[in-house]
Amino acid sequence: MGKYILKRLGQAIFTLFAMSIIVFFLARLSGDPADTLLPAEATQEHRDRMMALWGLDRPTHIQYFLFVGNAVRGDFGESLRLPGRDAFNLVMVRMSKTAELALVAMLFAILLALVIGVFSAVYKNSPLDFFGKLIAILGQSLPHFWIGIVLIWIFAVNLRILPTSGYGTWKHFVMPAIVVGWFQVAALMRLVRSAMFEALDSEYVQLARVKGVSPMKVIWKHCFRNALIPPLTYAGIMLGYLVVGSITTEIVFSWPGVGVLVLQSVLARDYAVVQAISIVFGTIIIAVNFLVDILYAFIDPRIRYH
Amino acid sequence: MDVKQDPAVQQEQEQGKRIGKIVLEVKDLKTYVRTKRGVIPAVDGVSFYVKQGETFGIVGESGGGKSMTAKSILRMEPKPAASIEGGEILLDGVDLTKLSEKQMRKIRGREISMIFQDPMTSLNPVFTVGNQIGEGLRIYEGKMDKKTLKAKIIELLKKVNVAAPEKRISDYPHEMSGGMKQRAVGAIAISSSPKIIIADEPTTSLDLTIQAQYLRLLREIQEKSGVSIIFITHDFGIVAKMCDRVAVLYSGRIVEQGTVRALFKNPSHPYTHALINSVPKVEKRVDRLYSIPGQPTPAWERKKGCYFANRCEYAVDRCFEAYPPTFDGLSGTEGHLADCWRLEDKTWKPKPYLA
Repeated sequence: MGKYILKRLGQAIFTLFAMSIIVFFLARLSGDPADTLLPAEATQEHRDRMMALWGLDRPTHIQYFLFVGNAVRGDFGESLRLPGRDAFNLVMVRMSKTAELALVAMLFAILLALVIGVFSAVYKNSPLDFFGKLIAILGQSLPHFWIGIVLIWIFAVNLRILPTSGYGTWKHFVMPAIVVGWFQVAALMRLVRSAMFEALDSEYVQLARVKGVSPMKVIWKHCFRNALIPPLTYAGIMLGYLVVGSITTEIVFSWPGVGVLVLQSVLARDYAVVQAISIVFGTIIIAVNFLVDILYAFIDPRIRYH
Repeated sequence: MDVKQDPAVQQEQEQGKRIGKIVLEVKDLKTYVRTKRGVIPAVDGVSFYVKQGETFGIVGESGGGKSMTAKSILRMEPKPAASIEGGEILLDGVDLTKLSEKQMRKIRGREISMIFQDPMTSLNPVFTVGNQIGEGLRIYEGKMDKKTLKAKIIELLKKVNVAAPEKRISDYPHEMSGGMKQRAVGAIAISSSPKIIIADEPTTSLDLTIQAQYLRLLREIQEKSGVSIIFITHDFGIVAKMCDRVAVLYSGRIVEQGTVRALFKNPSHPYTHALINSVPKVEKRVDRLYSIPGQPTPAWERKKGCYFANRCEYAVDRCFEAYPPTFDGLSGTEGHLADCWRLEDKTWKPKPYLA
């Protein structure tokens, strides 16, 4: 087990380095920041001074080593777009808000998906199974912004029980979490259902039933743990998706998250911020995958030996 | 196990056994399966009984209704597609077909347990073997402290000849060999001291030497505990080694049943005769092993008459007109039954062995 964790950790760190190379060089392939930051009539002298100021006149590989060295200490430089603001700090403040929303949305999605998924496998073709399918289809096909607007109209405008937008109390979380989570519930639930279905059909479940194990224990002890691997894999990918992909939701609910910052920084070729965002996103996704790998081993003993 | 040892083994078997009163009686059991092609009578009026301490074999080719019969006895027919449509399953006089699912749970494991065909898939991969044996024990004997439970699990593993059971107890199924896993499944099956163990082709997925060991183990367990075994197989060779009495199932019906000795000496139904003929013989060298021509007719294509008639080399016109009645007292023993029109003529017999 310890060996397995160390191996995964080594892989995660290696991936992190590979990612830093890609992030650094891709950002430089996107064009010259001087073109965006300086007015069109800027002289060559102006340009040179600016490049020197930002260290952009040095050889690329030296720039990379400096970048990594600083990044390890959490220093991604100052924002090019908003001079004087620390890029890493700018990202982290917003990132934390996005992460809060992502976690709440994910919790909502996982709980709902597990319950509906398990029971629609157990009671296949029942009204509950049908209801689950309906939720899945709607969640996958309705656009986020549309659900958001409709929710605001119902709960904030008409019923007046939830705030329309913004960040603050738990009430602010409800609608954005539903919007973000719904899409995920749908996919996750179908995965739980099919995995549960397979487990229920297995011979070890028959043996458990032959032993006289109660139906609830057959479902939650014998099937559930075996059915967890596929949805867990997806949940890992999903958390990454949630952290990165809720820009529309953030705009609809005026959520002070990282999504809008991404958009603005990319458009402005704000290297420092784009790099900080990419590295932070990447690190989160690698960390989540690392955790998922470790959870695998806890759930399924066979994985510990691969 | 060498085939030549057979007579000796059989003798030892008869000496060691104490056969008692009837524990299980199945009367005219009908289990139907609803499919796209219509309702299929997977078990079509099956009747037999099993005595205490006896091994009762159910033989036949795949799709004959062997496993469905076993599952029906445990009331584990795959619902809702399959359901018991008629008949009785009497366990010590209690009709299991009348019990609720909740009452049935007290029967499963405690009174009747089962060993499945494939030990690779019948143990849950995410729990240790000890956990899976202990789970049953706690159901049958109530809560107990960890030490007592562990001691009992180890004792059970010893009973099924698992070496170093103290270590094996914390193994996961994937850390064990096939034979070892099947022993663990055996330990689960005997953990409640049941009246009956249903063994559904328990050795089919094991290699031959392990198979022989396992069969010996089952016999030992039976001699010590007096449990009845319903042994499902397609292999008449195993029937000869293991069983006291046997029923031959074809397309959901028992076409012949009786003591193993009577059936081997005097197979009266052409299907039984052909099955016994299909067992390879060590003494005889042949170019081609015997096999029964054709395949069982699927239920939805079945016409009137005997189900086996289209594959039967002895079939006469009558066999295609109506299903034959059951004749008793064949080979001079009561309880040797077979369904075949040709048996109306008391002197008729299928041709002697090709050997």
